[in-house]
Amino acid sequence: MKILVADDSRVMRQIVIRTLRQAGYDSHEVVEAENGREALDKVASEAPDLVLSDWNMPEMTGIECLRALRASGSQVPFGFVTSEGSDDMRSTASAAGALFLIAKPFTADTFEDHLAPVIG
Amino acid sequence: MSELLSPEVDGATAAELLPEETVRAIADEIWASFIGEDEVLVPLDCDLPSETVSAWVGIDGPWRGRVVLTCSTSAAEELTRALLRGRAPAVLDAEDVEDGFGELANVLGGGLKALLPEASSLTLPMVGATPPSNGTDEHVVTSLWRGERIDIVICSVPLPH
Repeated sequence: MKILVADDSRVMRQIVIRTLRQAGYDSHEVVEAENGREALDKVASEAPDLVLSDWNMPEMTGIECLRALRASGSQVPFGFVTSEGSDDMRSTASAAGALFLIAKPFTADTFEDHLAPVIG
Repeated sequence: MSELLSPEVDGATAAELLPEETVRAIADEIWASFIGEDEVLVPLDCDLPSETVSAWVGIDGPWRGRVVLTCSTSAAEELTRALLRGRAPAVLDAEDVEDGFGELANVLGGGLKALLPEASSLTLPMVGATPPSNGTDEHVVTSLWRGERIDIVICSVPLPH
C-alpha cells in the first residue's frame, strides 16, 4: 500500500505521516508532494493507493488537482486533510469525487475512522 | 470577494464575531492535538519580548479580516519543535520555523473561519517580524505557553476605498 501526502507545509506533512503511523498505517509506504501539481505528477509516476491532500496550496490547489485527476480518468481514492472544513467545501470536495474531508486539527482516531473504509 | 456584508456580520466587530472564549476553545483544541496532549495555553498576561515574530492568515468573505499569531522568536521555534515532536532536527533552520509557525496560524485561521456565519476563503499563511497594520477593532487574546506570551490577534480589514 502506498499513500501520497500532499501539503505545501513540510511540517504538516510530517504531522500527517506521524498521525498515519499512530492510526496503525505504519507499514504503508508514504510519498510526499509539495503542491497539487506535484501530486498530480506523482499519482502518475508512483501509482498510490490513496491521496491525502491539503486544499489550499500554491501552484495548484488540492481541489484543482482532484478535478484534473478525474478529468484524466484517474479514480485514485482521494481525501482532503485541510484547515478548512466548511459545509460548502465538503460539498465541493464530494462533488469532485473526494471520499472524505478531515479538518485540522485531527487525531489518529479521526484518521482511522476515515481511512479504514478505504484502505482497511 | 463579496463587498456586500450579510446581516450577521454587518457592523460586527472582530470580538463580536469571534469572542474570546471561542478563540480560546479553538486554540486549545489545536494545542492539544498538534503541540501535545498536556500542552495548554494559560489565559494570563506578561510582557512581550522586544523581538517577536508573527504568522498571519487573511479571511476573505462577507467578513474580511486577519488572524495573527505573535510570540517571541524562541517560542516560535519551540512551537515548531513541538509540532515536529521526535522528528525535529537538533538545530531548526529559519525555513522550518517559518513553515511550522505559519502552519499553526493557518490551522487557527481555518478553525475560526469555520465559525463565521458565511462561507469565506483563507489566504496562504505569511510569517514576518511585523504583520500588516491591524484594523481599528483589534481583538487580542493573550495567553502564556511554557512561560512565554502568545498573542492571538483578530481584526477586521476594511476594503480600500
